[in-house]
Amino acid sequence: MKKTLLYIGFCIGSCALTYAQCSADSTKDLRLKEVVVNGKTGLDSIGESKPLSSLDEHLQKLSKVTMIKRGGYAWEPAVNNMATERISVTIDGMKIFCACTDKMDPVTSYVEILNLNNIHVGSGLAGNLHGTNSIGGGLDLKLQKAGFHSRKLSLTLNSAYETNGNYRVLGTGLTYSSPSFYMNSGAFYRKSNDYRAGNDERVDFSQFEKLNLFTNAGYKLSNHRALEGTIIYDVASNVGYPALTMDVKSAKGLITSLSYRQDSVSRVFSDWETKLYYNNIAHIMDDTKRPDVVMHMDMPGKSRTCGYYSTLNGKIGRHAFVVSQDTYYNQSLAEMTMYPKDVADKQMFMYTWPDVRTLNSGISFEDKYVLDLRNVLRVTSKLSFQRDGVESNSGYNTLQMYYPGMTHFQNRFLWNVNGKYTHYFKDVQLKAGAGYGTRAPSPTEAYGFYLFNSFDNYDYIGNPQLKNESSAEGNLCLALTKPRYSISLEGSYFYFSNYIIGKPDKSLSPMTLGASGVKVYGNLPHAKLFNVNLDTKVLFLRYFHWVNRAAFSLGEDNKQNALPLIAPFTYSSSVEYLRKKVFGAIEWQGAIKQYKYSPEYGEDETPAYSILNVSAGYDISFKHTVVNIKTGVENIFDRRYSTYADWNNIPRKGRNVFLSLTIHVL
Amino acid sequence: MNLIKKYNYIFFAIISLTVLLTSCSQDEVKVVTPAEEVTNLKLQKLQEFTRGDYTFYVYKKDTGNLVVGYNEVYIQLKNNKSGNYVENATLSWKPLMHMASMSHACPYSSIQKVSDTKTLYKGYFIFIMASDDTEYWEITYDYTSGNDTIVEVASRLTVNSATGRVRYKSFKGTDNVSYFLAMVEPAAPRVGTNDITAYLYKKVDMLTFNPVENYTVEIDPRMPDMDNHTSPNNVNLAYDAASGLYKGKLNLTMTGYWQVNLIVRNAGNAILKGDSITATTPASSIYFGIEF
Repeated sequence: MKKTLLYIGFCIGSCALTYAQCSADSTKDLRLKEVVVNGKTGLDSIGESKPLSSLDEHLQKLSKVTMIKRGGYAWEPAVNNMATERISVTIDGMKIFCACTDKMDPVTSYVEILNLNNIHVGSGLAGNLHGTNSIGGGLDLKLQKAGFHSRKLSLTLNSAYETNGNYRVLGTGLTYSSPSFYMNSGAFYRKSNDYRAGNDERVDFSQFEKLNLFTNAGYKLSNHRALEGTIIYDVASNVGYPALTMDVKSAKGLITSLSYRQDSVSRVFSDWETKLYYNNIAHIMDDTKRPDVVMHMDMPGKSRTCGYYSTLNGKIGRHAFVVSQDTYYNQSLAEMTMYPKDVADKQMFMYTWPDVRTLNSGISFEDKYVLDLRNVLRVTSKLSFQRDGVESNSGYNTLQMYYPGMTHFQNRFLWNVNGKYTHYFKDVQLKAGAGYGTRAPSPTEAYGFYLFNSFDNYDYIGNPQLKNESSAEGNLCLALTKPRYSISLEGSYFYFSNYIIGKPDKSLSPMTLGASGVKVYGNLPHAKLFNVNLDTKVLFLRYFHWVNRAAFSLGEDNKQNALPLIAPFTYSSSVEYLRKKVFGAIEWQGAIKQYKYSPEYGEDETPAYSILNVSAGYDISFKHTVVNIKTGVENIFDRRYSTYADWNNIPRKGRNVFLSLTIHVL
Repeated sequence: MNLIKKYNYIFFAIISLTVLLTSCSQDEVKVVTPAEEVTNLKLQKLQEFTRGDYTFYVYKKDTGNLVVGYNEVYIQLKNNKSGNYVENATLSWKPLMHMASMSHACPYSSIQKVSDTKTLYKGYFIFIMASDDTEYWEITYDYTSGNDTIVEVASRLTVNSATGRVRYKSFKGTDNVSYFLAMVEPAAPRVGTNDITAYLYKKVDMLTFNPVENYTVEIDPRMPDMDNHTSPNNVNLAYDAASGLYKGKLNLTMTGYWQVNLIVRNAGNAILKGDSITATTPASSIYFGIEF
């Protein structure tokens, strides 16, 4: 909390214009799907069918992103069917790592839609300039900043209600901008009771409550120099996880940053940003509300990260380049205290993340070379050094029982290189890319100790002697863009070597009561993953958009067995009507039966499903006020369904009627 | 690359600093008094008694009485005439249990000088029963030193039943011999790999208990509270001739209560006592308990 004080009172500041240009550039080249999550004015969100839905619901709609769901809250994002270990999730370039050993708190759960301006989804090795260990892709959550504009004060009031789960949302944001100073602050509150799946079946322990407070501010030091700062405090409490055996008492995140920006550094270098950041997450699980708890346990976890990055953009001739140096230091510590049935016996204590420390420092480079109007080549590369290990002596002694030769700390060298060629021919765009990169094992994979996975019912033990996992990636995209329609077909193929996954070790005895056994993380010789996405958009009758999306993925290990949590064929088709202030949409989405699944990792054949959603919206404006009303029904036919990504097949929401009201006072 | 090197340098600097700081032992020569020798080992006085010109001071490592099982006992001997503690004493002792109708001894060691001290001696007893008002343990000390020799200095001791978890077990083997197995280490167990040591004696007659050599004590640590969870890579106890101890490695994955199930095998590898743990046999007939 001391660190908070350090940041309180600072201000911020940004050359919003330059920044937007830069991200627009890379967005285009990276084919990042940039989605406006919450615009500065009501008009920005007119196209969103459910503007106040959770960040998870917004993420779920993005191409290549899938969400693994353990309850009503805090879903785990995956990009290209790769989850936390293989992707990087950053908040405005800041590294932040979850504090729960059971993945109950993906870092996306510590921000709120009102904090964000947009989300960059990056695919593959070149997915995130600020990413580390991100061989699958990356999400960068871009913060909402008022920016330096002419003097303006605006107020936003948000409220929403959903019938399913008696879900309430309240939020307010205040934005002030001037040419030399800006500040936007807000508070956002969500609370839901247990939701109901189709057929009016209540899903017990799916409740949650979340409060998010934030402030972004910026101060212009001179024409070309500015300071910017961010504080986000997010606290979720009483969060149920119906798919797991435990719930969460509280998950608190404090996210702070201070950055210095400068544009027009020299003739070659355009803008330069240096950011210092610190974040602290404290996560406390809770099993006291569950019936039939075999053994009560306390499982607190914390994750603290501090770091900086410095990014310089420049241009020489036809080369536009970005150089970035970044360093972070993370502490991940989780422990478990178990209370035996026989109260005469002492409590049992162990570290599940034995004070894992990670120092990573790297340099990344990106160059966009415009050969001519039709041909663009982009090369990215990152080299980084990582030192990770176990600080706790007790934890070290514990792991040494399993790995007598292990050392407290070890050094790793990580690198990646990726190239993408884009060719424009009339309305056709062809992109071909290839790359190779490595990632270090996560704290869980390297040092986790008896972490129970309720999906396959195994205890997992980390392996400090893991080799780095590597991925060779190839991708191809063909897009046709016409004024009235567009089609994009994109495929990516990842060939992993030393693929990190848990394998059963029959010699080890499980710790969790009722567990089937123990799996130890190891390197598979190889594995492969293939994704293909098709997106089409048709504009008809002037105001109608017909949007279709289909995706198919295939993941196999070295023995042609399916990898876990790989999406089957999924599709969605929607027709949207958008005319000035009126909005309407009907959406059909579903998936076919999951033919290829992994029994070894607890999966079964998820049946096909399809659901239908409708929504409508209207904007009313008078004088300085814009009122945006949205309403809709999700899962109209109250289908009971679950997807491949629902942990232990917990069913998703049944019929849900929502109403949201946003008032902007300009 | 420079950056990587820079970090390497920082780590080397930190590591070498740590090494320096921890290895800078104090080389000053300091005279350690007999009283300091006692406090250095954190010994607590159990009793003292005087015979002739000599006073015997008897210590043990913790407060309270001696207990059934393994007990380490320390001795200092003071010459009251000179006021000095005897530094090269030849000491011996014998335990004897006085019962109403009979008497018997127990397993015990000879008395050795405590290394790195001038005035301390130590040995151990493995008491096989507790004393009470009428039945008592008596230790008879002999000090041999020319004209100063004193023999059969008898001192009564209270021996309580052991409390807490089982650290001592007597059993009759399949060979119909009575065995006495007492755990010495771990005295302060920790999560991770622990040294586990024990003495194994057999009864020859009421007054003679001899150490047993070259047997094996197999261990299978389990947590009854955790569905008999066990740890990997434990090493069975094997006889170490130099110390007379059985030595092995015990791995404990967490704190709490551990039941270390035992199987004692003779030199011919035949089971004398103990059972393998299976789904239907959750505990061996002999085990040690460790709780921390």
